[in-house]
Amino acid sequence: MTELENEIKAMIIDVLNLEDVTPDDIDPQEDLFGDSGLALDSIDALEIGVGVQKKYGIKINAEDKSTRAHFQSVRSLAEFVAAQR
Amino acid sequence: MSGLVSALLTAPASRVVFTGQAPVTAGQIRATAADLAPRLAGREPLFLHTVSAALFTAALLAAAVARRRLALPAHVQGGYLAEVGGTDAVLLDDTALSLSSATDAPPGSLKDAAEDVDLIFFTSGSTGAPKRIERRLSQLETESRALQATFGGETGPVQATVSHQHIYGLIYRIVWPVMAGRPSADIAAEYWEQLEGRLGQAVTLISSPAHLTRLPPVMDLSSQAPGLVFSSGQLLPTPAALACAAVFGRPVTEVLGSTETGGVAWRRQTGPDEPWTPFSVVTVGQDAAGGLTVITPYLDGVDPFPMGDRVEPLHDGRFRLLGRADRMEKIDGKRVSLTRVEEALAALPLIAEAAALTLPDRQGSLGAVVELTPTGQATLREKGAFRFGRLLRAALADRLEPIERPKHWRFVARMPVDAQGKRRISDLRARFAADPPRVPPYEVVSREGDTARLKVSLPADLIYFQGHFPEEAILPGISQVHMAVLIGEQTLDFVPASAELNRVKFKDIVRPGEVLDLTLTADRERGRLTFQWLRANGNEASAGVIG
Repeated sequence: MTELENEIKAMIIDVLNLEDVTPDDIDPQEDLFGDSGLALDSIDALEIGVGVQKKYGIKINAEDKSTRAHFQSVRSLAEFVAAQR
Repeated sequence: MSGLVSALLTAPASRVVFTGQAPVTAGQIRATAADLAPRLAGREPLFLHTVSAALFTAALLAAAVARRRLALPAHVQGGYLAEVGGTDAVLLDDTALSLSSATDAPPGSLKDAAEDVDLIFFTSGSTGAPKRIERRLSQLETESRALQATFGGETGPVQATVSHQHIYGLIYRIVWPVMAGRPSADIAAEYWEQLEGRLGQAVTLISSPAHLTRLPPVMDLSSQAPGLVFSSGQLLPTPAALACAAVFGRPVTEVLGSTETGGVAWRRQTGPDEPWTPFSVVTVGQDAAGGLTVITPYLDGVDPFPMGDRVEPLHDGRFRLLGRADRMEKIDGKRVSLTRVEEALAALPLIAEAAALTLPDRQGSLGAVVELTPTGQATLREKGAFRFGRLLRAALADRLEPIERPKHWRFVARMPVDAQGKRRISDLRARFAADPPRVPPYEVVSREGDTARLKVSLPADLIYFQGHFPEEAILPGISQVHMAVLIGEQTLDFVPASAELNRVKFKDIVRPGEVLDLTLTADRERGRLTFQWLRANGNEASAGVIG
C-alpha cells in the first residue's frame, strides 16, 4: 500500500505541477481538499481524476456519491485504486 | 510663467539652472544648445536619453531650434530600445553630449527656437509592452502652471530620486522648476545616502514609492527633512505614507496621474482612505461601471479618459479611489479580478505586498509574487515553501473563491519593480520561469545490445552552459560525464556502480547549439559505463569509463 500511496503522491505532484514538495512531504492521511490540508480545488480534483484514470485505467463515476470520499486523501485514493484494479 | 523655451532664452546668463558637482548656468545651457542645434536637423524622431538633466534640457532647447521631434526612452537596454523602435535611430546620450563651458550662446544663434517641441514618451505598460504616447512640450507647461498655482508658495530648489525620462520627472524636475526659476539637481539620487547634505526645509524632493517605501534605516532624514516631498508613479501605501510623514514632519504630496492624462489629482495622507483633490485644470467624472474618468489639458479630444480605477465621488469635489477596476483575467474560463486577489493577499498579516498574475506557461493558472512581513518570513522558514503556499491558500478561503486563490507562489525579499517603482509583468513572470533542462534533447540513432548511439543537441539554455564563462559559454567537461550517466539511465536502463572515473579525457571544447554524437556502452557485469562524445567535425570532445 505504501508503494501505491507514494506513486499516487508523485502523480498528484506531477499533474498539479506542485513545487518545492516531495512525496514524503505529503501525509497519506491528510485532507486533499479541505483548507487544513493541501487546499486543492475542484480543478485540481479534475486533474487528479484524469491522472488516476490515465495511470490506472480506472473509470471514475462523477455521479457516484462515494467518489468524493475516495478523493479525501492519498490513502483513500490508494485504497480505491487497489480495490478497482 | 512663460514657457520653458522662453524661460531658458531670457534667463540671465549667470543664473544657476541645475545644481550638482558644479552649478550649470542658463548661459551654459544656451551655449550647449547652440553647439548642438546644427547637428539635430532631420525628420525622424531623435532618441534622447541622459542621466544629466542639464544635458537633457540643452538637447531639448536645441531640438526646439532644429524643429526636431524627441523620443524619450525609459532606458537604453538593447531589447527595450528595439521594442520602442529605437534600434536604428540616432541616440543622444550622456556620452554623445557635452556641456559647453562658454558663458553664453553666440548672439542670435538660438533666434529660430520654436516655442513648442513634440515629445514621444513610452509607458512601462502594465501589460509588459511599452506604449508610445505623443505629447507636446506646451501640454507639460500647462500642467506646470497648474502645479505652480497649487504648490508654488511651498516650493524650493529641487532634488530628485526619479528619472526625467518619464513625464512625471520631466515636469517636476525640469519644466516646472526652470519655468519658475528654481534650481534643480542635475543628477537624480539612486540611494538616499547620496542626498546627504543636500536636503533641508527649503528643498522640494521629487520622489516615488520606490524610495519612499525604502527609507534608509541609518541615515537621519528627520534633521534634514525636505519641506515638500512629491510622490507619483503608483500609489504610496498608507503605512509607508504615515512612516514618511513621521520622518519628514509633514505628509508626502502624492500625485495621481498617467502618461496619457498627466497629473489628475493630489492628496496628503494622514490616515486611511485619504481623498484626492483634482487639479483645477482637470474635470473628473465616472463611467457607467463606477470607474474614474478625466478630462485634462493633455487629451486632445473632449471625450473623458477612463483611468481604470473605481472611484467614490465626495460632495466637496474630492474623490476616493476604491482600487483598480480593470484587471480582469479569465482563469479556467472564469473571470477573476487580479486586484481583488491582491487586496485579499495584502490583507493577510503574513503578507506585506502581493502581485497576482496569470502564468501562460502553466495553462494560464494563477500565480502570486509575495513580499512577506517578518511574521510571514518566520512562518515560511518554519513550514517550507510548499506548506506555506498551502497555508496561504487556506487563509484566503473566507475572502476568495477557490479559483481566485493563487496556485503558484514566489516569495521574494523585495517586490521586483522598475526604476519608476512600477511592477512589470515580464519581471514578475520571469520569477516563474521553468528551470533550465538537465537532460538535453536527444535521439537514439541505434541500439545494439548494451550499446546505444545517440545524437544529442546542446541548446544554449542547457543548465550546464549557465554561468560557465559569461562572455563565452563552453560545456564543462564534467557535465559531459553527468549527461552520459543521465542519458544512459534513460536509454540503457543502467546506472554505473560507482562514480569512479577511469581513463576519462577531455579533448575539445563544446559550445552552445552544437549537436554531438554520443556512444554509450553498459558493462553490466562490472557496473561500468563507457562513453564517448564526438563533435560534428569528428573530433573527440571527451571519452572514458565511469564506475
